[in-house]
Amino acid sequence: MMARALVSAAIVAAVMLGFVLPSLLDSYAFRLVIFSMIYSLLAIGLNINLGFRGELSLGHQTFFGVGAYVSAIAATAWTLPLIVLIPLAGVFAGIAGFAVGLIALRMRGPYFVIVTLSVGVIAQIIATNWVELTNGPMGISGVGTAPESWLGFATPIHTEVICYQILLFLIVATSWVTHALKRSHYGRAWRALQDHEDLAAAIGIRPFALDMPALMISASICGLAGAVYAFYTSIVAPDDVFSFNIVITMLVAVVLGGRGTVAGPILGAFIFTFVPEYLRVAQEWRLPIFGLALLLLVLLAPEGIVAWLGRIKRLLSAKRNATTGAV
Amino acid sequence: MLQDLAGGIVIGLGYALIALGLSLIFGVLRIVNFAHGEFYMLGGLFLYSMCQLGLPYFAALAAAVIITVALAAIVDQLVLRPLRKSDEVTVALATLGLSIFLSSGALVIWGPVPHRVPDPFDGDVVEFFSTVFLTKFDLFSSFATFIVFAGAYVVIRFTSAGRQMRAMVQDSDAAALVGLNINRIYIVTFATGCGLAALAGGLLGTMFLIYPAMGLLAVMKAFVVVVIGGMGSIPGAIIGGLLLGIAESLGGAVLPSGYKDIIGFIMIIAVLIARPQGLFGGKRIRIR
Repeated sequence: MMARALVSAAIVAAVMLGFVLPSLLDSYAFRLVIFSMIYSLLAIGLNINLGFRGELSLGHQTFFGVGAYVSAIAATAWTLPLIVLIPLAGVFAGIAGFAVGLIALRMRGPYFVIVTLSVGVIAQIIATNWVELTNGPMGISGVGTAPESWLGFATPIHTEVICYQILLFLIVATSWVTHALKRSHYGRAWRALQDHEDLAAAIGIRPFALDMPALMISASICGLAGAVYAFYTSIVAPDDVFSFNIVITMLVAVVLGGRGTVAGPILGAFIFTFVPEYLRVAQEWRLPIFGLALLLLVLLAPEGIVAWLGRIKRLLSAKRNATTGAV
Repeated sequence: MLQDLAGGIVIGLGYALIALGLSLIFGVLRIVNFAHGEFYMLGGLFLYSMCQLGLPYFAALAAAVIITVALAAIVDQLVLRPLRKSDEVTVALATLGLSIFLSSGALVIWGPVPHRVPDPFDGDVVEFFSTVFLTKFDLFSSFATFIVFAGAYVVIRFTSAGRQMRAMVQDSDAAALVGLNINRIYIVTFATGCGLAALAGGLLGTMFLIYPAMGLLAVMKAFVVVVIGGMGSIPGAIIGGLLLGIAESLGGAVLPSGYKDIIGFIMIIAVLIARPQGLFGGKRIRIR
């Protein structure tokens, strides 16, 4: 119960913080906060596929892009507000996940990676060339520029604060979904499949029937992030939203934080966004350092920060128990 | 039409050469090398630097391949050796990190500007049937690719190193049990595979341009070839490369310009649906 109180307190603090942060931080730092939150959401999405099912996808930027395009197109064509578009983007991204899953989930391991990689490239090429729908390489601009386009009515609150609160709500909601999934029958079945697929299948766990919901939920969450991204940056262009860098960022965030953990992806996304910015290393050396960091991470701490913190905590309590003589 | 076909074959052989290394590394070591495109890129950039230093073209090409092979051997010992017992996803993540490190590191060292390496045959053109025109370098590149493929076949089929590799393919634990030096097989296979990528980078880089970002597109093409031909299959790599080169070249003449690069990825998905082990792949691959 201790943990639950702690989480509630953290959420309340985060909500309050949202109202004061824009005045505390300069606009650049606040922008980093918003982007960390968008990446958190993406990492939470990817984690369900990578952490729970253990399949590496290099095409998750597709679902982010689908969400971003759905909301941008609907916002400019019918002037729908963001709060209506977020569920819509989630649904469309989920459908995209279903379509990709029909093909990709027939594969395992390296083949799954290559199919998802191809899907990402195909999506980018289609978005660049289907000019009537997507406005081609120029992208769709002017999304969410009117303050009332966010909630559907005008408020005295600044749109940046609204964006923060919406993202916070989505992160809390999706983390709760992750937490619930982890403890559900699904979570146990996924762990069994990850440990030994044949054995799991032998005791009646049907891999395909379990993989599909994992991929669809994972895709939907990325779609939600896409919708908020479209409104926040007010422009959706194929080279940005379908960029390979997006899926790399998601991946590093998940691995850094800890695959299969609830808090890991959020922690990883914030660290991966902020640390390079404040490392003040020469601009040009940042990307090589990213690569090296991912490499070292995989070599030295493949389980991520959360597992690492857990180990330290266990170590400390073991020491305390030893000194007090308690069992 | 015939010109497109000939151009497609030349490019396709280049793709086959990149894919051969990728396929070898996957087939023997079960590693999906996402950094493969980066070794291709390094082959091109080392060639450029060697030419800048004043080496004659062919010596520069040889030096570029040798440097890349040495680098790949070091990478294998530093990065891949600790992960020998790790699962596929972890190893794939490591090669992905390596890929980002190498491509962005090359960007810092060589800069983003594309470089051109002088064609050793001064762009001389050979005419066939008075309809097809190929440069002498195109012919040299295709010929070199054929030699490499024949060499790879001979080495794998008839030498001790080849037998050891095939033993690894069958069962790496059993191979270790009968006393094979597994670590040496890993280094040799990985370095050779990356060296082949470097050679392809030198050859294709001379035909087109050399720049640090060239690896990503190359590794994607190599994946297409390997999936079409079948992972770990040498004839598969050459047939897959030719199919992709020809399909792109002919398709590029028919399709709207923006869609040319989509062809390969549609081919991947079609092949994986119809025949997931690839045209020449063995049946051992796990697919439901």
